[in-house]
Amino acid sequence: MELNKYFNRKSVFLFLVLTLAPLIIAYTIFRLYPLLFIVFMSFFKWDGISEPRFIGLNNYIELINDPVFWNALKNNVLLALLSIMIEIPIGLILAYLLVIEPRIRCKTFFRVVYFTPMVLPTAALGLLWSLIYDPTFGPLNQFLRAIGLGFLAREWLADPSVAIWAVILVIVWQWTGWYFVLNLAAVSSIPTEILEAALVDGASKWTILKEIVIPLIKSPLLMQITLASTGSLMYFDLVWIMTRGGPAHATEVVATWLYRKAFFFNQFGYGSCMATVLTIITLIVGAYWILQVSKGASYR
Amino acid sequence: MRGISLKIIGIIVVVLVIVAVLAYVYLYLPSIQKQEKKVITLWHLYTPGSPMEKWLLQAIEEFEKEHPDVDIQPIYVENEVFKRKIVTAMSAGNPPCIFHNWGGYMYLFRFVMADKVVDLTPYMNKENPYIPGVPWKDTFYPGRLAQVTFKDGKIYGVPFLVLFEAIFYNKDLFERYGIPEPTDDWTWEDFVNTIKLIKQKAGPDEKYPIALGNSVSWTGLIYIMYNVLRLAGADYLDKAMFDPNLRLNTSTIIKALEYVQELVDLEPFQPGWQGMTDVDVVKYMAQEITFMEAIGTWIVWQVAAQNETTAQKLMVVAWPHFPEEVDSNNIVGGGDAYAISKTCPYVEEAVAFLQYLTSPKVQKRLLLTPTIQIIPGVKIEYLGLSEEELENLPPIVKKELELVSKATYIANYWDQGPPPQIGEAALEIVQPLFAKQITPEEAANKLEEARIEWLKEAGIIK
Repeated sequence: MELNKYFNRKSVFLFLVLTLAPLIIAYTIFRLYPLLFIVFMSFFKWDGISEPRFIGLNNYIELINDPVFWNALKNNVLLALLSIMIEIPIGLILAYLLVIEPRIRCKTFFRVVYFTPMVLPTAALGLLWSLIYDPTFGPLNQFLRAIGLGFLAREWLADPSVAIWAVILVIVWQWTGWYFVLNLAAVSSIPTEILEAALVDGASKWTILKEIVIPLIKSPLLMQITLASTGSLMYFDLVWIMTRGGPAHATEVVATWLYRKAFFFNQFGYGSCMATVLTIITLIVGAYWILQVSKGASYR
Repeated sequence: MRGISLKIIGIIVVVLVIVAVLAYVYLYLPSIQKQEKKVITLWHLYTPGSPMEKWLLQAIEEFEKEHPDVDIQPIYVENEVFKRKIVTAMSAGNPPCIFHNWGGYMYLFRFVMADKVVDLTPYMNKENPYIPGVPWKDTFYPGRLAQVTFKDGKIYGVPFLVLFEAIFYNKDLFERYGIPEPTDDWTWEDFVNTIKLIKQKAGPDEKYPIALGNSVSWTGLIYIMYNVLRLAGADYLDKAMFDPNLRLNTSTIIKALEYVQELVDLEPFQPGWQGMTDVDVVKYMAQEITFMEAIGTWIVWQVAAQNETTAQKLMVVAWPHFPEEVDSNNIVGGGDAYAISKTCPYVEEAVAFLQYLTSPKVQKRLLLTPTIQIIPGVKIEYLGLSEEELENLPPIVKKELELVSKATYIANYWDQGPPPQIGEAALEIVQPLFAKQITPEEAANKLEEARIEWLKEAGIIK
């Protein structure tokens, strides 16, 4: 081919190296180096100001005996499970209906509505829902009282038995739109002839979803599970804005606890230890699901 | 593309990126730009538009008029964010020139131990040019100066105001519901009975005895601090920080914590108190939904920002007394001060500004501005107030002055004064104690464990 005159292998390689170099350098400086630094600091006691003091595995031993950490990790796992069991299925069903149901008009409107929570700033969402949940002034309790369900009114963010569910509800509400969009792309990529043929053959929409759509989008679904599980393990913002991990650590997740330990109590070594452990757990979980993705079938 | 190899295109791209980065560095990094004025950065905690911010900005403007070669750049940082940011900035070596702090070991003295703060003792031993005839240090309340004086005897902060914590209440609500107002000699039993009376008389109107935003923990810590200091002595914790023979899990301290749980059992707080911050609950005081709040003197201007009329109805009262108490006149107050970091290129100018900030003219405004009304850092006798001005001070301010002047000791906040281990333990026990997830004994033991850890780190015990 004439193009080979200009695109020999050595030139292409050099071109790639040179153009990717800034990205690789930036990634090393802002991602890789801080990660290695955190692992290194996890073996030290450091308050951020004075000289770090090497303490070996003491931080890890303290972590194993830290009940707040285990409670926080439990909350992360709960969040991951609910994300996988609620956000992804709802996102899939909404996307599927939008594709397959001819009676739904204004599909663009629904796409915007479902995705809107994702594009709102998290800080604004957190403040908004904190106001909604306010036990005295908030519209939720006022609405419940107005319709005779005052006995359901709660101190949503102050009651340790309820707070975690109140926060998770908001997270699920926010992120379902994201999985809706991902599933919309996945379902839309299925050739329409397949779905039409199934409909013509008399298959119900539920059967088509179960027997045709889900198997065909197995890889994207597994990728979504990967994102949901790793994202839930690292979750921070809404929890911090709404409850800061309280009341009494009821809504604590690992990221908020390590943030508090490092930046409130100036235990940067211990915070680094928690960050290292969280990173390892996330890598293991992520690697497992990515392996499943690579085994997943495609309709091609 | 004929004649131009990919190699050359790649090199051109890399060169362009390098040039862009260098251009940014040259054009936008302030340290590289030529500065005509002496820039002094100042990190403060006063919300934009608030009366305190206006006070500070006015002082800056006046100072800059007198010193046209100085440019003071005030930067607002929210209170909780500030605590994280100042540590990061100090650690990174680029702190502001002048920074707010609360004295004590949590922040200021740790910075001192890391050799990052200017020793102000030489300046403090000389007179403030705006208050001639007396060393600058003698113009401050001894208790406040002690909070910024390190164990080596050197002074590292300028305590420009006096903020303290006590119980603030709405006089009008008490009068409206026919409930006797608290008095300075009221007992813990009187406090409990007042709560019960409020619940009985004002409960049907969905009003609550006490506002509390406990998600930040330091608000609930006020109850613990005052109870312990009343029962064990105002300087007990300050001594226990260095004396291995004292303990933080004595029966007296456990008793102090038991009183806190007895209070919680009365359910005196507004709904949702465990999930709210101190800022969230300002509206409960401003909208007269709660009668009282254990909080700092800043509540007056916080409420004023939402409802000036209600702010005028606020009054302060001393902490309730216990039959078995050993200390009746202490107050819990923060070492609010400004300090100067060693990286500040214009220390003399920064000191000059802090001297101006603590001049009678500027300090008087803290007392006389209706929307501020807090105790100045400089002693009253140096402010040159007329009899009429003193007489016309709002009742709440007169009361605050009285409490400060009667105070035998000003104990710093436990999340600021003590070393981080003890400060952390103090904050960590608050929510579980209030939620009754731990017993008072368990809470006291956690404090003691933290104290032992600190004593070992400080080399006081092995």
